[in-house]
Amino acid sequence: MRDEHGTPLLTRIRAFDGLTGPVTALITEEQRKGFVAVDEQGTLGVFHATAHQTLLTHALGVPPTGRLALAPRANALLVEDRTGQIHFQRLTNAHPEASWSALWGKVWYESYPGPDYVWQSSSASNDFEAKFSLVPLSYGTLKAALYALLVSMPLAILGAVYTAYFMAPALRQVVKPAVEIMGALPSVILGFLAGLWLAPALEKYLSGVFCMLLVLPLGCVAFAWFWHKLPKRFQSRLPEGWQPLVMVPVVLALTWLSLALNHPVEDALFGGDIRNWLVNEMHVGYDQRNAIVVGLAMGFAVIPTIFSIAEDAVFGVPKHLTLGSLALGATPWQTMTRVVLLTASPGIFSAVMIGMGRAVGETMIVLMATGNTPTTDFSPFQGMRTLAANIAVEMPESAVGSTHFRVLILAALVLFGFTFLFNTVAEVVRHRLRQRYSSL
Amino acid sequence: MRISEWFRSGTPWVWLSASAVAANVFLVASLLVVLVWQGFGHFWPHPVLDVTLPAEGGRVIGEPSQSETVPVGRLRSLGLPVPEGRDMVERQLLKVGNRDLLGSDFRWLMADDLQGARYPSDLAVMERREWGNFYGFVRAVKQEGQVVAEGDAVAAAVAERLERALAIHEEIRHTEKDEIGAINYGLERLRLRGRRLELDKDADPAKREAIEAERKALQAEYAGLQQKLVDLYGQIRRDALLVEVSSGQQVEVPLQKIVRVYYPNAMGLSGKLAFYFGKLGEFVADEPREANTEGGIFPAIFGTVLMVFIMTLLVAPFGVIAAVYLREYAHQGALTQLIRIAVNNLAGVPSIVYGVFGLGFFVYFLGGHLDRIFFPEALPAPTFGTPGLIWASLTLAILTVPVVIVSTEEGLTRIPRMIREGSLALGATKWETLWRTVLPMSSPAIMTGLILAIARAAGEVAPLMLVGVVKLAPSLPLDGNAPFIHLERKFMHLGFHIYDVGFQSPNVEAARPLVYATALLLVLVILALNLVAITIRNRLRERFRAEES
Repeated sequence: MRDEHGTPLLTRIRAFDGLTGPVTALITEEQRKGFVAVDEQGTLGVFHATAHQTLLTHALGVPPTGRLALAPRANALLVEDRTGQIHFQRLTNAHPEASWSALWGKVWYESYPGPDYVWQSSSASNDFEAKFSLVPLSYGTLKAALYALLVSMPLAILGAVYTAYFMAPALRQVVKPAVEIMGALPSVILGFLAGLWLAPALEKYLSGVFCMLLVLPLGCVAFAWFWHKLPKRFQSRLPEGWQPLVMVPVVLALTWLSLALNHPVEDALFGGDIRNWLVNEMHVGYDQRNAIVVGLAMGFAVIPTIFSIAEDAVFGVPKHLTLGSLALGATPWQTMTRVVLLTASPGIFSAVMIGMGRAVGETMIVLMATGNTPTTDFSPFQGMRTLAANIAVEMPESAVGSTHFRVLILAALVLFGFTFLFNTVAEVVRHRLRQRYSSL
Repeated sequence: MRISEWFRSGTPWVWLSASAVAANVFLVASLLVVLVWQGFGHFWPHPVLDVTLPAEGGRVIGEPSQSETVPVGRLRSLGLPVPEGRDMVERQLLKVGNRDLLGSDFRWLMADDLQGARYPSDLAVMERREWGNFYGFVRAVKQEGQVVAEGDAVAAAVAERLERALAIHEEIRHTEKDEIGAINYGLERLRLRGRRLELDKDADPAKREAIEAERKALQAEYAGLQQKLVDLYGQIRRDALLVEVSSGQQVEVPLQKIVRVYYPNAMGLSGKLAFYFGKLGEFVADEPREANTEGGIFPAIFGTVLMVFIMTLLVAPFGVIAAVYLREYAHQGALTQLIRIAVNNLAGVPSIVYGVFGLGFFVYFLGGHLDRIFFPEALPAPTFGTPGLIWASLTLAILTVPVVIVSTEEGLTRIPRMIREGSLALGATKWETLWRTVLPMSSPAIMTGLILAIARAAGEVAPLMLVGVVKLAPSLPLDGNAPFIHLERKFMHLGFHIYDVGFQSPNVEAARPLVYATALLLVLVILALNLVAITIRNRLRERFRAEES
């Protein structure tokens, strides 16, 4: 059935079982991809092509002739038997499109070159085949969440470690609520800024942002070395635990430096235009609203969640452990990595899990900051469509009670399943950790 | 100390984590700065320039909106003429308005071409009800086709006649929306009453006659108003402005379509300030125009506040009673532990899932049944079986109930044992102890929980898209028609407004400043709520620390 070099080929795509004898009559539904067949022995079979399932086999009890008629809404069937008598059959077949293979498997859709995962729930044309694969949506959900974690995890965990363990208490009292307020910002605002401000800005300064990945950490360490080389008199002006205050202008300057490097780097490495370079040299498409934008925006939304829980976990490590380690001659950082982090690691793990749960369920940011194209592509320069965004986009316009509506509710259930899993794991781990702290 | 030793001591990593904190704080600050900058800047009157382009010989009048420096290659690939011999060029986006004449609101110009720009003080900006701003020189004022003012007299005449037109417009709006709206509402109620009689098989002719008489009265009133409207429309059409636009052509602009005329280049600082606050006031208190891209956001503010208010009424008793029961009365066993875990888990469920639940359960199940029982006369048009205010409030109430429960429970556990025991020892019953001492003492914690719930609800958008928010509601859920509050109506919401105008609007570029302003407003409200909650929480902690010691 598929074309190859323009020549039509007859290909075997699906086989249906259920009928034993040779099929004598076949009729297709008018509006859906279902069909009804009758075999020689008078067994009636109801099938659905896309869902690849045999919905019903039923012995009619009369030897049929070759003639069938199906009601336009596929809820009634007329069968003519050998004597010329016509039998009426009522069919109840409301949702034949949904099957395990249609929702989660690769399906070879009409006029597609091969089996694929596709979500396309509606179209303008009449003979449209609804494609309800939840795979691209789940894939997009996890992709968005992973990019968000990639951005937020280093910032949030490093920040939490510093705030809980090294920071001066007076500063901590300001920083912690400040980061928590960051978590109260409505996601619609973050999404809107990501879509309308960050996405065009990122497109313009893409090479600069890549520079930032390198410049920021190296620059901060270099600044620390420079500070270390300063005269002691100058160093002692900064009390222990107030380093972030010095780092704010440094981070600002380094960010500015990276963005100023944008054009030189773009000219030197990417021939003056990184988007053309990506498309022509690397053969990667570039969407303006892509996974990096989502990662940054949703990372921003997740940072407070991870930060707050991880900070609590690190702060809760009993003092006698750290003091003991310091007394044995370990430096503060050694104490941190060998004692504090090891003890608090379940707490940090559960912080990441809860952050993951939040990122998976986040709707507005992905809705506004991605192109909402359901693809299975892990490229950072491409968008995605997540389960949550898909529900928000399609639910208001789907017909109540239709298969589409029910599949969307199923998508919500899948989403609930994802977050329930992450939250429960996190809750159990945290509970264990609390018990361990109390026994220490 | 050598550099390798320095690395081994771990000091650089301490600094690195310090910079992570700095980066976090920097992120928050930069977000707020972007919002404040873009949001507050919008209402400031920008000068309008008038420039003659040397190359094409054309002339452009417009408001500079943003500029960018772009590589020449990108412009060339777009097919634009570019100056030779340079890598980067600066170009400027001008808001040229006059969409009905020029087709588009915006136009890019090379910065070089703007060298000879002038800022004539008689250049006027006209805000219109349709088609966006109009830029040009007002040359004359016409009344019924006759020129009545020219030259220097124009500005005064425009101001005076615009005031008259605005007054008439306000009267038309009042007549159409309030008076005719009330009549339509009354007629619809009468139709439903008649249908109800039919359904009840009530053949009492007296009742039918009463309905018929009321309908006649309303229709007579309607005819009167209709006549009044025709008169008003005749009056408002009287004046027009003759405006010279950038092409030199003179265009007649009817005054009835104009909201405001101003001369930004002639304004002094005080004039600009007055204009700025005038626009700010309009933004907060007026209705939107032009598919939400102009005018104010009052219905959205109102809808958000009302929805959050109803949600608070629902969530406060449920959350507080649940927490009190869990903490004070329930046996502390496996079941209560399970309930606590469930509540915690409920807080982590994605908001869109609540939306789906609200749509499936509240709207279609509860609402559908309510309709069948109480409003059969309106069927098949749904009354409560469609997304609306009450369902949105209910959905957000279950979304925020964990916040209230957790916060209240925390407040209850913080109350020292001796206070409870003291009260019981004085002979108070358990209920009296709870009501007179424990609850008043934990009220700040309850307040904190409620404020956090409100802040969360005010910013939540995703579930509302399914259960009741619309981009443009024809009427507010609170009005002068009995029963005054219409819980079944759809409403507008600030957060959804941002999404809709920023992403679904046909003219995103023109609407963008307004979206920034709306976003800023929403952020300020939510930040203020959170700060209040944090302050209350800190005070509370201080108080109990004092009492415990």
